[in-house]
Amino acid sequence: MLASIKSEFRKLITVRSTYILSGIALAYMIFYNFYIVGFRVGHHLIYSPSNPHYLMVEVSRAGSIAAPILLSSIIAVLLMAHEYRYNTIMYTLTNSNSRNKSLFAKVVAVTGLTIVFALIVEILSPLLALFGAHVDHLHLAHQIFYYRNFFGRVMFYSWAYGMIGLLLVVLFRNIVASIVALFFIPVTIEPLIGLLLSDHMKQYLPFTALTNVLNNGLLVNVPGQLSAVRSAITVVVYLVIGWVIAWILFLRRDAS
Amino acid sequence: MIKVSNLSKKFRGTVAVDDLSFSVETGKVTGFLGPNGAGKSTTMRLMLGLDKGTGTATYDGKLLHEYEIPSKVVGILLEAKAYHTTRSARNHLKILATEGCVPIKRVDEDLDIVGLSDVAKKAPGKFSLGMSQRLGIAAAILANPKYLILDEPANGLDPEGIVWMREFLKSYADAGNAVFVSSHLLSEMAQMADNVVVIGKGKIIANTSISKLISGNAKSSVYVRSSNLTKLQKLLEAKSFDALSKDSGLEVSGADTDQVGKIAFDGGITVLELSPKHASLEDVFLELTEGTEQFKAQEVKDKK
Repeated sequence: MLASIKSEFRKLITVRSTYILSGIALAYMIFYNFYIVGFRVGHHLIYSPSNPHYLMVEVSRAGSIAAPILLSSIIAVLLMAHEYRYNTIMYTLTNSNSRNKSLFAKVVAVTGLTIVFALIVEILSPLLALFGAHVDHLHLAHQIFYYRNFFGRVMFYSWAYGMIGLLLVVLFRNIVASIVALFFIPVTIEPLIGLLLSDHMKQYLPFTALTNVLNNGLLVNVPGQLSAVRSAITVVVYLVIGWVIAWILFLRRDAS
Repeated sequence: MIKVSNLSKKFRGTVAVDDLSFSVETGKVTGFLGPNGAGKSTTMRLMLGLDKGTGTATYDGKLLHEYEIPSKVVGILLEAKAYHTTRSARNHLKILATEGCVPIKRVDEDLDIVGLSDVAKKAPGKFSLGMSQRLGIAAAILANPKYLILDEPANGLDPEGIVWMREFLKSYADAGNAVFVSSHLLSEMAQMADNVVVIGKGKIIANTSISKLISGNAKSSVYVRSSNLTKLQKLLEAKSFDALSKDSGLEVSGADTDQVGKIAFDGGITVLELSPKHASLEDVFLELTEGTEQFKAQEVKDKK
């Protein structure tokens, strides 16, 4: 089991795409947090620099978090999709005596990857924003930052996005279909379904709920809005259902 | 010994593998032959548990998943280019070594065995088919398994590579291991394999040693050229031998060179050439698999 997990991490660190996507994520974080939130502070944003929650609100926005996390999810997709694309899945499955172990090792590797990504985002985002403000000689009011709250939300968001990415590959077994689905479902399919639902019910759609984990109840609870915890539970329910189906298919289907 | 029992597989109602049973003995190279679409690759995938079907394949009496580390029991090469194109050859093998609990230092030894040490750090995306096959062999033998299952490993190899592959697989089997190998290079198979399993349309056609297969399934003949072919043909037919004109001579079925020589001598005919013609594995294969081809091309018309 440990051998399979070690091997999955080795797969992650020995392909170029991991470094390219991580580099893009880093560049985006620098651009958004350093330049938009810090350096160009006040020009574009709703919260004023004089607000003590400015930093907390701005670095918790989906604009700050979603893009780098989405890129980590693509790395997770590639970890599995490359196996099908290059047919190395035959080695993965014959080197292990159980398909359960092989898939579990992937889940562990993606969990590790998304936790590392989340930690980098959590640490760098506020620091870059502060550094940007400093470079611009802008004085923020004394900031109140709820670290535990922020870390928990980003960590869950990152992990759940990675699990969704991996789930899509286990279902589709195709690199293009999985990445298209990862982009297409949240920006097209879900909003279309949302048009048929009430504002309250919309909150139970998977990607809407996932975004709500980042923002809902950040400073105050809005009546009628699902809390971050309830949104997270909604996402977990979708993940459990999706993964039960995907896991069974992985065990029963031919390898490619 | 690998014992395959009643393997079957259907793809959307079409039978790809139909109740196959055979065994692969240790110390021998067993060839696996069949026309395109006969079900060879599917059979190998079923033997490894990669495809889901019915029947079993046991390795020394145990199913593959009953071993703690299956890669130490069986090494595989099912597709030459089964690697990530931008991951270096060494890293590709390091991953397999990690998965199979093989010491990492074995990777360099392995690359040396297949002659890829010089390109170990290169991404295999631009490898030739022959180099890819070598990398595939390196992956198969990485954990020094007792059994090798190889699907067309000689495809794309240059003549030197083919000779190396033949000698390597024979020596691997001679060391007490078993090699199960499919190939369309029948002359190569004839030189390499001890036993052969022939399938067509997913069913077993033959399962025997190469020598028995050839001697039992194809008639030998004699080729003769003489000063008077017409007279010789009549004399041979009078003795109930089939003599057909071929390449300025006669091909005589069911006779040996002694018989043909004696008939010619008795008839006062000068013999210019007399040679036995043994059936090849190719002749036997074509004879056995006649009518089982899934993709049959139009016959080439003789211009003469």
